[in-house]
Amino acid sequence: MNSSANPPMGPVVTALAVAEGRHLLASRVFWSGLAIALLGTGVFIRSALAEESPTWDDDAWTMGVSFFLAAIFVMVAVNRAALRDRREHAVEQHEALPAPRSARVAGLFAGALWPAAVTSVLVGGGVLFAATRLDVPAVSALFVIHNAVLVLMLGAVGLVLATWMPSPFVAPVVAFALFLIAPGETPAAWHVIWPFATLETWGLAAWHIGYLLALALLFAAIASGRPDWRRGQTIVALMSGVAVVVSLTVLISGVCPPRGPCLL
Amino acid sequence: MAVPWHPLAIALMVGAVPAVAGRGESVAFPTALLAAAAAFAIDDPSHETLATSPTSLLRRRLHRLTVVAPMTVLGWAALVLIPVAGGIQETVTLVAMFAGLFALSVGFASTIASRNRGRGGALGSSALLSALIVSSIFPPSWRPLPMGDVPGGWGALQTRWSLSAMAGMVIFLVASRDPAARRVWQRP
Repeated sequence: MNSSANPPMGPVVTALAVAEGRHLLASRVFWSGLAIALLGTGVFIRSALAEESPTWDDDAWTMGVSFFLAAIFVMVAVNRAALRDRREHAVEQHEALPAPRSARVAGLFAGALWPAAVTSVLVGGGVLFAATRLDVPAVSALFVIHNAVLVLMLGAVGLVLATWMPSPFVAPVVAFALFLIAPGETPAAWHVIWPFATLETWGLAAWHIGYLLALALLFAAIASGRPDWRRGQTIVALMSGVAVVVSLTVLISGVCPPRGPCLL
Repeated sequence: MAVPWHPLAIALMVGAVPAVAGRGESVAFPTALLAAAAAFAIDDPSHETLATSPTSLLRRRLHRLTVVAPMTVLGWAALVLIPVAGGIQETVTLVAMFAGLFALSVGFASTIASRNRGRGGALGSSALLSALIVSSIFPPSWRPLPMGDVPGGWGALQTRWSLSAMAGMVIFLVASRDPAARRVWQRP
């Protein structure tokens, strides 16, 4: 087999990531999510400017929630991009390309970094603005990284759904579930499983970011493993699975201390 | 007529999960899911081929909805209406809510399908989700698509959802005007 049959994966994945990232940024679904994020941020800025004594805890939630919702829209956008072949009846043509399917999945996963970067820059701007007007807890700085990893993780969810359940309706179903089903009002330790959970200490917040990152890698490995599992994908899936279990164990055991309220 | 049934099947299966899990009071999730699934009834793979047929776009879409709507309504009644509805006011409110979400979903999907080679289901259901999210940003007294209690009780809920249903129908009718049809003022 010559080298043209097995091109190096790195440049292919990079080129696909650039192209898919641009497509994701231009997609109408991403812009819908971005509009909601900007609306929530606008409500927060208005409260911070107009109210007499605004606080981070009482007013900034509109910005946080709106960026969580934008991340859900990124999941739908990535799912639509991953289903493009099937929608345009081009699966067979693309199977004839020298780049394997795993490279295309990896390119799309890396392409989700573009919306993650854009939304994180906006979140960072919102947090910086808040820091000029309000007393912002230092741990809120991690919210910027949390947002980027959340977008990446939900993008991987969109990918895995497109690969294993290739229907255009499945991603909207998951989106409706994430929007309409909440874990409950009373904080409990198992609520840390929820990707939108925000934690009040540096250590726990960092562990939650690690948990989301491990989930993203796990989903990406599962998505790229169809139709043929390779050793690299198995190793990534196993390592990220172990990381998910370890981070969840740390979070669940530490988030609700025996004395005092849960740190959610 | 190729009607995609899998969205309805998925919505019925996933929408039944809250009831099976003992959260039978959950109305919003199965109702929104079934309404979103109805958007896929508008998806027409032969949209461009049939564009020149004597049957108008509106009539073609109504045919598709006539096939899908009864199954959707039956599924919703089995999942939500029969287990949840208590009195007449609650029943009317639930019906108005489903009608509103269904009409908006179909209206959004029709608008998108007219600009997207006959395919509007996926983006239409996403548009419905966007509308619900934007609605939830408003305070309850101004919320146009209320998924919970609002000031004014049953009457306010029924009014708002009925208006949403009418808005959805208007959007559907406007989006389903056949582009090949001559305008009224152009007719001899």
